Amino acid sequence: MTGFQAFEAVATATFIVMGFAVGLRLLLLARRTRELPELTLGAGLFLIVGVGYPLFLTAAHAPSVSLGTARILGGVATVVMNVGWWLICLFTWRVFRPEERWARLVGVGFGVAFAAITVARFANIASESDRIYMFWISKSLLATQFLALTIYVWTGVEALVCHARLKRQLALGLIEPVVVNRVLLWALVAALCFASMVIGTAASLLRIAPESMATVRLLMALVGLGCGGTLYLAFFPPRFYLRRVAGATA
Amino acid sequence: MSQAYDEFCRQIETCASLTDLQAMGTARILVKEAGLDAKTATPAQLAVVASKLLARQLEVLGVAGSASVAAKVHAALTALTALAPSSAASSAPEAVFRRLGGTA
Repeated sequence: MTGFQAFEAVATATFIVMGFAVGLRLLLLARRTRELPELTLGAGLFLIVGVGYPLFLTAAHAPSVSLGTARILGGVATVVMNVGWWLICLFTWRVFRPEERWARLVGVGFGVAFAAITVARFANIASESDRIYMFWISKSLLATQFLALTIYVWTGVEALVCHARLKRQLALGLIEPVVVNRVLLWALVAALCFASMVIGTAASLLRIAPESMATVRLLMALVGLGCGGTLYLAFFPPRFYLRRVAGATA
Repeated sequence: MSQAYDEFCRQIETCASLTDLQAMGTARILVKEAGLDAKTATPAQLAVVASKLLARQLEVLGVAGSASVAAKVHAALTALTALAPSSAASSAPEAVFRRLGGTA
């Protein structure tokens, strides 16, 4: 294994482990509180990052996996990730725009769109015999990426707007600095996920498979590492970070 | 609107001798400036707004004795806090993100 491959493996593993851990922690929180936001965000992160992404990577890139197994893993990953993205969409709607009619339409519309695209992805995975066209270069995958990108933009923008409002509360001492910082970190997670999807979508549009281009792989590894680190700071903040956030606003 | 917000408007109207429209306009400006949501604002939050922002806003409106008016509104909201202590509504984004970090 080369140094680059080792870095790529560590970055990818960091992202997956953090998504899995944060998702699981929020699901356990949801079991206790019975509140929808922690359930949707926890399940969304758990399904997309902790379960779907490793299945997708295995199906798309593991040479020891047969084509038939890759089809099954790819199909499961498609369902799991699409449900996960829809749950993130529900989280954004219910937390930031719970009473807006347009947000409800967006939430329902994305559910219908993901259901339709999942069917299209199944057809694509079943009919293709080349994994590159099955998992990297396909119209149904592009449509999926477009929906996910839109959700990340919406989530990031809502979090930034909310952060601007909470900064005004912070100035009056109405809110803890760590809560304001967590909203900003969530916006950063959305931005990094957006960046990751843009890189993947651009490579897909240019018909470049990631394993054939070191720059694409390096960028995706860096973004994955950044996203894993940001999830850690947002949902498992170490004491030194909490002190630093509190000290910055003192 | 939250009950606390309605009470905030009523107190501004009574203590500053403003019309209901003037009081509601003043409250709306202050709540926005404080980054609060009128639907989820609590008595404790609005008491802070009354003590830190209200006097200056009343001065702009030319209300005489703005500091004492603000103190009266603050006292009324503090009393409300003591009667019905409450944190921000559990559905407000700030309450959700507080819970998500385990700091609820």
